[in-house]
Amino acid sequence: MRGVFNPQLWDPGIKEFLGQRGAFNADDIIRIIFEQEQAARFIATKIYRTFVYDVPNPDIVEQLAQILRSNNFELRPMLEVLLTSEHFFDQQLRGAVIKSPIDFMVGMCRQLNFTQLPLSYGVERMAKLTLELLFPPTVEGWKGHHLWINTNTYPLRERIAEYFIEGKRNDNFQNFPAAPDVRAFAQSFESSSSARDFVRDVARFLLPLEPGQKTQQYLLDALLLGAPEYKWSLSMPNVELRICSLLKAIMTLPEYQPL
Amino acid sequence: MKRREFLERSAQGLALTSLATGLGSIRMKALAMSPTLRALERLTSASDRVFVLIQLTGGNDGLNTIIPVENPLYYQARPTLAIPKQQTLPLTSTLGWHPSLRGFRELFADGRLAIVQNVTYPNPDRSHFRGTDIWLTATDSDVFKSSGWVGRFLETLAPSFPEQLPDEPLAVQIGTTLSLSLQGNRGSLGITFRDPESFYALVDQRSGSSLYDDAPQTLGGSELEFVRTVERASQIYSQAVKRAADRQKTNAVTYPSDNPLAQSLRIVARLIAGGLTTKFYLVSIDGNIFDTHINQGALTGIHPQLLQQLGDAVKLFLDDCRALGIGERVVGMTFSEFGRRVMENGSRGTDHGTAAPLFVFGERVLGGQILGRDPDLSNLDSRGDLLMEFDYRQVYAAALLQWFAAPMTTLQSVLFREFSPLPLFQQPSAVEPWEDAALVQSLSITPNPCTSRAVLSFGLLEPTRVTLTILDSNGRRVSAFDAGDFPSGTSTITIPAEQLASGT
Repeated sequence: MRGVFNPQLWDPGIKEFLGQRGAFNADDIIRIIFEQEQAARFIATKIYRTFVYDVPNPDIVEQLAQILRSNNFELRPMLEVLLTSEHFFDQQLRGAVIKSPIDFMVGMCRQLNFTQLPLSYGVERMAKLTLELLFPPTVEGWKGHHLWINTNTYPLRERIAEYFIEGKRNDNFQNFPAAPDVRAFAQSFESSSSARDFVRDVARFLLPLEPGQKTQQYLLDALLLGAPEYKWSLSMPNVELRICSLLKAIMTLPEYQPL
Repeated sequence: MKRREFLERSAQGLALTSLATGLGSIRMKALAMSPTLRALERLTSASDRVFVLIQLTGGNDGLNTIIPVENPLYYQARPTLAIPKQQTLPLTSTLGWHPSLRGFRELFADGRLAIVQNVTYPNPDRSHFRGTDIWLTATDSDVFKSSGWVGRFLETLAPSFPEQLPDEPLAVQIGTTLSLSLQGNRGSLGITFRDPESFYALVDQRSGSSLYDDAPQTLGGSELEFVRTVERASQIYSQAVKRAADRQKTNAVTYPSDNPLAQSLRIVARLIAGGLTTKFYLVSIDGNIFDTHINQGALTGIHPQLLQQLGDAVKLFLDDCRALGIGERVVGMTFSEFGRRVMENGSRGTDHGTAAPLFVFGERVLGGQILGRDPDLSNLDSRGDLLMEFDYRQVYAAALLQWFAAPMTTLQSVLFREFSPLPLFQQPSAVEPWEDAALVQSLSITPNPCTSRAVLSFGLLEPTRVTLTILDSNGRRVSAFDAGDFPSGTSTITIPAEQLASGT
């Protein structure tokens, strides 16, 4: 998108903006905005809240803002520092961000290596989860975080995930052209021959926080569906049903909602 | 201040307006009442009462809602948008209703609507999200809170939230995104859904989530706890909501399908009539649609259509409640983040302003009155916007104190300081514990307040003789009678109330 300067609509007089005076045009206004310390802090804060945690750490944010300023507001250097930092990988912060509807829908596709999600379905489901793509509710954007999860959207996320695993839409329209290849997904795990290890590894892959004992047992039961543990293997009958059952169990846990 | 003193004072305040005859509130003192009743007291005295919040998003133009028909400044400021006097519906000699508000006018005429003029707050914010946050969190314009006034109030009624969830949701929002107003300090006291049937169908009713491992003691862990609470709430409350909806499958009036606000209120009426014990309902006209910067419309167009939607919906809702027998339990208010500017802009619209009227509705409202002066168009603020007469928190204070009988300490923790409540609601009745009490185990009275009679239910620890003393709100004895001997366990007494004056 390019702006066009129309000299006939421009007031060439002296203006005062954020403490500076001059015959400013649009480029000057933008320059002055970026000269404010708060500008870099604002951007850094948004990035922090998107990737790390809803409550920004002021010291970290200031450091990020500094990197932004010294790189002429190029985002890449700042992002590189943030996403490779010890702070980012701190155990305290694992699972501290709640998936936005985009993280949720696109994330499911990526985790299962699925590329055939009908786009209109994806966009419409995200809207039902209160994110209308490219249409923020106010100029502030989306407040997100806890607002993504309520008694209206949480059950809906569970149902969308359940249907998704089987390649179905949960609004009763035509299904996806194909279903996620759950067998290929399972085969990508080395431990797929041991039921218990398999459950543990799949959960580790799909969830930010490793589930506890009770939950692991619940997931194991979901995989075995009554069969004895020693009989588990990828060549057992109805194995896809079992893998789907495990995936549904994992993706309807509350643990699946944090990032 | 002791609670009884407080109630007496508010009774005197309410003497300003005339109350319909034949309506009475009963305050009872049982001769032998256990100390544990103190906790029940709050809940019983306000037990049946419901408050409905209607949010008009975007900033409703108050000046074209209630029009100062005799003020030439109004007509000068709005060459294309001003409503001609003869097109308005008469309200007073100097004010007229926008013609689309027939519904409100009828409610006002039969005492079920009150108007509060010139409502805003000091140093008002003219931005949508900041302005809205302020109204929802009940703060001053320079204070930022992440909890809402309704959430904070409801937390005082559910002290062990969220470890223990109340059996039924304390607040319900018909919609999709949970409002900040319902957020407490420890989680949201409200739930949101579109309609009871789809809510129930959506939630996985199997209780697999009853086995939770401990969450780690990290920030991620507390986020997990939050999601778990929502999961539990979804399960419990979808069932509770469905039960209520099943008990009341129909409404008593027909709500037009092309009125979204009416459709939301229709659900609310069903749930209340179906026995859901939810205290607050929040519905809204969404999408910032009242933000009429361009082509607002005077007699036809966006704003008139919105006003019609609002007036019709509230009128139908109150008529429905009356027909369903719940009319006396329900009141509500409209609110919007700000009014709009006096002068119209160059696009046949209006821009963000400040003070505006709001409406309080319900059978138990001190209706048919206008609080405040006509909008003063010759004394505006430095930007040419209307000046404040009442702080919006005075309306909230009235709701909490008069409608829900909240004690002053609650009011101060919810609104952070004292606000003088406007006389808007009929007084609640109170169940006062007696000093020396031992034998009464439980006490409740319904309907509360009452018209023709009330039924007092109580449980006794052992057989005893029961005497009832009826006092008015000033503590004067109205009547007393010996109700006879009662066995231990639960019994009821029916008290005729026709002869009692209002405020008893």
